[in-house]
Amino acid sequence: MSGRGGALVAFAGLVRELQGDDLVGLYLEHYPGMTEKSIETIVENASQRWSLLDVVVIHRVGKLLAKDQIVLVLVGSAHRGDAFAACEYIMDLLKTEAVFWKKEMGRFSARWVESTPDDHRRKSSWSDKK
Amino acid sequence: MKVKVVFFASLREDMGVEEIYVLLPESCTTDSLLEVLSARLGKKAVALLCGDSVRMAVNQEMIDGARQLFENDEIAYFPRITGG
Repeated sequence: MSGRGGALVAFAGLVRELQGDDLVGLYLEHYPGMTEKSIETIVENASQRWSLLDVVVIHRVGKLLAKDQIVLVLVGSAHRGDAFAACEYIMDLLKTEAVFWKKEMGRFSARWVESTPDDHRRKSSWSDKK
Repeated sequence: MKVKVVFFASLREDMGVEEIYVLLPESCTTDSLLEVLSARLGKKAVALLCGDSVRMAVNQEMIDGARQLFENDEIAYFPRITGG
């Protein structure tokens, strides 16, 4: 980040301890090429909305275990207000717009995760702000 | 003309196949692709592809409704995304 940077906000998402004894982890599927583009679009939208100096998004795919780090978002800006808001916005949109599919892996079975109404509510809330 | 069709997540498992190549007449649309897929994969499989929660992308761009297809297009079918 350049010398104009006065704020750096980092968000790390972890695989939370899964409920139920037979759940051992997550499998994250993606669409190579389209997934990267979907993340770039989210970052571009954030950069148009707030004054940002640098953004880094790292998202893991494949098999993940509880407590593993799944996503890292770093946002740099001149002032903390923009960095905090943009970081939260990027995370909210990653949930509904980034091209990933999650599967909960159990010892004996596995199931694909459905997106939650709360995820969509958080995304829609950004259209009402600013 | 030849196009590539790819499936992801639960749809990939339901179809029992990750990708297939399909030969189509020129100026085919995504709708006529479904008819060809019905003959290849069966009516049940295509009924799943027409489900409300299924999204479609052509050359990695999300589309709504029908769209004309061209040689070497890549058509993807997938369920709602659950990222982040």
